[in-house]
Amino acid sequence: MSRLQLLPSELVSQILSYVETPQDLMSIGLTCKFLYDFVTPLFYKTLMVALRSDRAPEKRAIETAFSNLRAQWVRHVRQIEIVHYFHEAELGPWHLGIPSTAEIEESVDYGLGYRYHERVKAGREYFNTFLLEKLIAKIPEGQLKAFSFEKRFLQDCYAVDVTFSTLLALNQYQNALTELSVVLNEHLAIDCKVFHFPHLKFFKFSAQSYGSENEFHCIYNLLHSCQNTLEELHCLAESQVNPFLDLEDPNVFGETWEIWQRCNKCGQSGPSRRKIELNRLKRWKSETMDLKFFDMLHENGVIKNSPVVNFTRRQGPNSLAMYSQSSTLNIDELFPLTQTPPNEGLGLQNYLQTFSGLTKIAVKAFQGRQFGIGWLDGLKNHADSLRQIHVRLFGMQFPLQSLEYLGQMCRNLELVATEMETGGLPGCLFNKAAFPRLKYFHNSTELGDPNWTVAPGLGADQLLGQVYNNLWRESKAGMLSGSLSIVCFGVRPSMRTGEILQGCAFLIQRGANDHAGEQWIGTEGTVDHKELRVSVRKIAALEYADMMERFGGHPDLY
Amino acid sequence: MSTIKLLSSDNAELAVDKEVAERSILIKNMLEDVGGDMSDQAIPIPNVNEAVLRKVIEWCEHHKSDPPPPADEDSDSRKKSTDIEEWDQKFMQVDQEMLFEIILAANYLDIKPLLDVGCKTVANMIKGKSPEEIRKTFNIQNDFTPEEEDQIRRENEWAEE
Repeated sequence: MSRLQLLPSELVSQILSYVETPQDLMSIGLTCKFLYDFVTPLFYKTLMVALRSDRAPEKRAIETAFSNLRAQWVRHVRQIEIVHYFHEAELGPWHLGIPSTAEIEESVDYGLGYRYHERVKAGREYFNTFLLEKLIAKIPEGQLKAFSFEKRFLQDCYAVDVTFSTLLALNQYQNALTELSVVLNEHLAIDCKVFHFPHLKFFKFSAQSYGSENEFHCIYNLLHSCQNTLEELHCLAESQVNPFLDLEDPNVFGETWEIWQRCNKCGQSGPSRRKIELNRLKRWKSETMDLKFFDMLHENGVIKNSPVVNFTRRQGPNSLAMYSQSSTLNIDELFPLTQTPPNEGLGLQNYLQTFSGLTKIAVKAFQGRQFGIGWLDGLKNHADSLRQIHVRLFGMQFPLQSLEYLGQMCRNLELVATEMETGGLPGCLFNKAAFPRLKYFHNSTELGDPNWTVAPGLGADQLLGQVYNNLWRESKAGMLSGSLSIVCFGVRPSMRTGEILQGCAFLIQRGANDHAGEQWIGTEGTVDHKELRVSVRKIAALEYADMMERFGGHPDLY
Repeated sequence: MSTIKLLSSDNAELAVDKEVAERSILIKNMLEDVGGDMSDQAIPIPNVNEAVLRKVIEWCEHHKSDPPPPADEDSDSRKKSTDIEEWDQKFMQVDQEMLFEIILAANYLDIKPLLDVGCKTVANMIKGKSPEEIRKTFNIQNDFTPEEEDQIRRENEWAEE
């Protein structure tokens, strides 16, 4: 009998609750009868409805899928997620696939294009009314906790998305929803009353071209309804327009706020109606959201007391992410900073000086060299707490002096990840005087142009050789950082690509009792020096990102 | 700092700082019930042997100044993280027998963060493996007949053919 099968059932359940992917759950279920019984409710917790993304779903397929749905599984459903697929091969047994035979017309003929558009519209209505709405009604009341319907590509106007009828169903039948992700559209915003979800902990909305007044009217109402529970907010806007160049936009957010406050339809009225205070908001992720939206939240005190510990903001090619263990992040102070394009390192530096306790900071900078590293002085308040730093620089290197300064200031740094323009890798990174507690270092460098006459780029082999040499030089001199465990280094063929032309990972082990590398597969060679063993293996692009994730990196930026 | 004594199932007496032992909610409550004075008497821990108890104490020593864990998360909430901090990862590099003993001890002694780390470690051993690999890892007997296995694969689809 396996030890696993001898555990009390509540412990087996607890272990399995940490297994997330349907693939893993299915594998567990197929091992034996004992585990199958445990896994079944977990496996059917999430109903993933898969829509073919390049074709409109057809009435018959939708009806068949619904009528064939097995009732014994539907009773387990707590989450509904609509996903998109291109090829049948992408579907697993955990998907409820909605097949479609009507292919997109390749023709540029307007007549055909129009017909296709009509078909998508019809498919959307059918899918929402005859599948989602009916499905939601079938789940025992109050059981559904999460609903997610996003597009594969936000800009895709031919994609089927959520309609008002589904939203209404979610509101009517399951008013205990704690997670909601939707794409905004005008049709969704016909009745603001429906945007009332008082139990939401997670809300993600995506808006095309920053959304409209009506859409934001509804968003405000939704935020108002869940202001006492909301812990995580993702706002995403997709537009071809660079918001930095387009600051003349009418203030849709502010005006909408005024209108929302006077609205009689939204449900509640009275003095409490005047305020939204997200006093439980812990995580906030924002992508390409209009600056005016932030202004509005800032000016109206929506985020004044938010205990945010994790904030990520991506705007064009620049991004900024900050993490702290406790809610020391001074989020309301950050917003005056966002009123000017964040290409000025000084603004970030001043902000960082207003609080302390950051554990991780990630900055991606394209516009302006100052923003790249000009804020390092601001880390003084975070010198003790900071464990990880991720810097991605376009068009520049991390200067040796700045790097040494960083190490001398933040003595507890455990992970440094950089991505930069061609150039050598400063050896100081591996030096225990400069980075005494460093465990992981990741870097990818752009391969320079060998024809540059001023600073000819090094070849990939040379760049990799340099990392290796730096490691050996420090270890032979007895100066290698005592905690350094993994060094990953990749060479990119050009500036804007995540692809890695050549890459190596170095694993450093100390003594026979160091088991760090037990999972280390594919080692190409090892070199021993006294107590030290360095193993080397080649890595490809995907593995690189994977490692970033495994070691607590910030895969969003890479 | 006051010290208390714990008596393992195999009758070994281990002296522990009170603060360390109180990572166990069971012991903490017990001490509160008797008014905190257990200096002359060893607290029996009948379900846990010496080797496991030493290991558990080692964990409690390392984590003695951790802040209290956050209130229970809703089981339906967002995907749980299976990240394990590095010290804990190393701590959990033990044979499977010991790993399951630690989980049982953490459960009995009511040390929730240790129980979480143990469960996550087992979960991570499952991830990415085929059914056969999982069986091999945990020494599980396949009690499905080929027909049953087929049936499961068929019936586990959301919709009937």
